Amino acid sequence: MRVTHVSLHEYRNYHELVLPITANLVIFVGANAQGKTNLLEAIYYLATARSFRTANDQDLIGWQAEQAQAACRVERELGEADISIRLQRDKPKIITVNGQHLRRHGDLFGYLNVVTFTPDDLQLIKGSPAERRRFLDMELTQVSPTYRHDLAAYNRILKQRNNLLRTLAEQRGSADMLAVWDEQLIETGSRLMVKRAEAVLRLSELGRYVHHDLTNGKETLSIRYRPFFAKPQELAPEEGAWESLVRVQDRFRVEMRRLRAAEMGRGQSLVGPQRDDLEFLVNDYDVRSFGSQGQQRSAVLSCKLAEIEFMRSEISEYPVLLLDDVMSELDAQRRHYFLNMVNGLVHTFITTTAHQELSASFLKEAQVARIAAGRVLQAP
Amino acid sequence: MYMYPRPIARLIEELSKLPGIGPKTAQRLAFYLISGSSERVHGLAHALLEAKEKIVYCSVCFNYTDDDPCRICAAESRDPSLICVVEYPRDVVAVERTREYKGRYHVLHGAISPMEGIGPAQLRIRELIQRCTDETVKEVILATDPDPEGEATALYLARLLKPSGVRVTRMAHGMPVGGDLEYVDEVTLARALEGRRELN
Repeated sequence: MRVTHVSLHEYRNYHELVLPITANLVIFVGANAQGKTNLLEAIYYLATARSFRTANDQDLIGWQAEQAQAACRVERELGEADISIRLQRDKPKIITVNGQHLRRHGDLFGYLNVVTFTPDDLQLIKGSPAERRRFLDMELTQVSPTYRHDLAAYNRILKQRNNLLRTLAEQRGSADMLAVWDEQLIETGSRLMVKRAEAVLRLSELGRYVHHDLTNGKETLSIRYRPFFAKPQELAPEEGAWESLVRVQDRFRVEMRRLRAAEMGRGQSLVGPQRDDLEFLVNDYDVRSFGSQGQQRSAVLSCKLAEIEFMRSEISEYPVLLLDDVMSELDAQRRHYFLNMVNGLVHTFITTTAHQELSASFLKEAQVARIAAGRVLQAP
Repeated sequence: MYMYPRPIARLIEELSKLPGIGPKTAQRLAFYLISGSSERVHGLAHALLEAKEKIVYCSVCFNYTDDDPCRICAAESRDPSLICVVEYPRDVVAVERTREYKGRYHVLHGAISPMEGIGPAQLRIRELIQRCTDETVKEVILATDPDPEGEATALYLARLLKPSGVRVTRMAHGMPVGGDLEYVDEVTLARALEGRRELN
């Protein structure tokens, strides 16, 4: 999968941009706040109809403009696709693919798949569980329409249930109303959890292979899914244990019963996949607690490469890779390894303030574009 | 700065309070009305007032009606043993369009939603249970929306009706009829696969 053309009109700080993409590795170079990330954001936006930086689409419309447009051409094994999103002030966005207006925004998924890698991702292991869940959700929502639907429904059910629990904690409302939300939370939540368990199992297999290679066979990485009901000391179960819907529902129900009183007291849901986590083990040690900074970074790198392979196995071709300012955060050896792995296979966009740090062999074949104040100046 | 004369501004203001009408549309509607004949405006005003004054809830099913009980509840041809429970009056119209359903209805006027402070007491649920104590009622079809609020309402009603011994059913998820498989959205297709049945 490749992006062969990007055009922007009044998008963020771009007044008018037409950018043909000619190489497999595209590097956007420039000082800070010139619009490098805006370009990656636009590509991401064309893939998912959402920005990775703002929840408010209106932020994407250029200062003083009434409407904005982002468009790109994607070359896929199945043929080309022209994607365009038009944004208007205080009106819903209009998404078209190959000139056809998409009535449902969810239909956009699948034309362009992306994997992003930003400095925030380096916090994947050290950071909060929410970041690890977001990482999982990001893949799954791109490849599974039912996951996308269930996730949206789940969040709604959770919000309703939390609302009810809050009124119960304040001694208003009646507790027999809880059952109808409990049942839906278990049913929809369990479906999400089974999909997560399956995905992590595959991610772990792919990650182990990459990590072995990255560390010259010294380290064995495994990524494990930890459902919210797993006890702290509980050893991860045998492989595939969480892939059974009935087993997940049973444990969900037991945990819900156990925490009933606490939920009523706190006025908040304490059970459900919104409290799931991931665990990264290197040679059977938890890297979060026992790994060095270097080990953690390597594990993240392997995990990201595994994510790319995971997407490929789901959609039968490589997604487009967006690296936002992350290369300078890695040491020369890891940087080289990463780019070597994706080079020639994965269409890659990089933003950086200093492209000299990329080795000459990569630069030779790359398309280098200088970005200054919302304009692109092709480098000589 | 030029401002609209007060009567026009008032009209735009009122129109823009209607659901789905933004300020621009309200402006367009207002000018359309003003530019038309006075009879047409009278006709519209009369229709609005008449609808508001003459429409009441049916005392049996709580659908809107100008005649109590409503035409469906009063019809001899309608099977009184069957009640189809829906969220809104518009849903009655949707089911009626099938021309297949011969039972009666019950309109809840909403669905359970803690976020909006809507519980059983805000819906016509007590009245439904009351209707089901009548021995002629044999089956209740729960036709609330297939979203979290509609599901919650259906689950709640199912529990509530269980002791009454009335048969409680829920509308099936499934494939649209007559369409091509390839055009069905993935989630509907996935649910239809889950609910597949054997052919003998």
